[in-house]
Amino acid sequence: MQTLELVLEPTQDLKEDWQSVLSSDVQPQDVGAIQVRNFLDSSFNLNRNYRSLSSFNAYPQAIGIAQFSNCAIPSTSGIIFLKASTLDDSSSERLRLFLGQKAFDRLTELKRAKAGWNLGEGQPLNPLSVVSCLNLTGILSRFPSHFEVRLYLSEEGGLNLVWENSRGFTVMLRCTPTSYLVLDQETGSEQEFASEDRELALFSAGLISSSLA
Amino acid sequence: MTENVPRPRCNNEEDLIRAIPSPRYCNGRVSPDLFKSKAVSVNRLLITDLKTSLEIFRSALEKPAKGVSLSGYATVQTGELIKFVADFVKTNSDLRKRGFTVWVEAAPTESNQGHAEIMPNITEAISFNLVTYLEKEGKIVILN
Repeated sequence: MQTLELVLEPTQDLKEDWQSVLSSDVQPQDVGAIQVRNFLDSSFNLNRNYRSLSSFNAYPQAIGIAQFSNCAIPSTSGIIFLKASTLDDSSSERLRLFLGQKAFDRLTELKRAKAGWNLGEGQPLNPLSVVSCLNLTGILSRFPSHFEVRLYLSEEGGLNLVWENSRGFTVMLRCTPTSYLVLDQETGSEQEFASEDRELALFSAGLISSSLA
Repeated sequence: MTENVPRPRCNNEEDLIRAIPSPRYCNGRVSPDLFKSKAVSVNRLLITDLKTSLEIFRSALEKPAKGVSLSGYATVQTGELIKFVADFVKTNSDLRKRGFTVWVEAAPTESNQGHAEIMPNITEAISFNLVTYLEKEGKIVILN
């Protein structure tokens, strides 16, 4: 199997070769996190095939690596490297607005957790989990102010957003590189949504109305 | 062939303690997935008392440093845990069909003689409700 490697740097335009493999909705000027997100979301439907690479630590500049297979390019697999500056200023600001300053600061704290943070178990925060959270801002720019959202790290490197709904029941929305998981204590439901179904995930979590979903 | 020897189960009266690392504690509340895992690591307070257990937890988090700290701990009696899970299973058709149940096995290590594991796993939903229950019962302690 052929292996393709793509290194995206926010300050660097894509090489011409790569423009041809990106979908039309990704413009050459869209670099960095936004480009990666679009690429992951729509270009080759990579989300379902994503998996973490154990060799991540071999790339000190990278904060995340995604590997994909069965993409639109026949008989290929590939790797995406997200560099340390993946979350550019604009993305960071969107995330700060979405979560609020307090939760955004907490996110910074969670990024410090290293592998084994849960007494030997526990993966560090996967940068693509953060990108997944960032993707929600395309639908909901601000987390409803009447909910005080708390952030936790899941054992697999996902980002847990937890709050109490208006009736005092706990709701959890977990962002992972490939999916959203919603647990609602009031209904007892546990639902998993693919990354592209983020409207449904937000609706299931009670954060948007049915008309938007 | 020692790996085939069944590990002893903890009896129902034994108190268990689970560490709460800082990524699982935020604004006075514990993450609902605190217990969600396969073979959930706990300590047996009968073997390692509270002080010793906390020292073991801190050591595991700090040597080498993991960028986190020990925020607190949760305690639960083995029998109480088993009953809680059994009661939850009654309300969940999927788990009920599978005849889901949990038990606690002693799993001592060289550096932690009190180590035990809740087997086979705690599901997301069980953990979610167990944390709420333990919070209400005052069995979650946050350290200063």
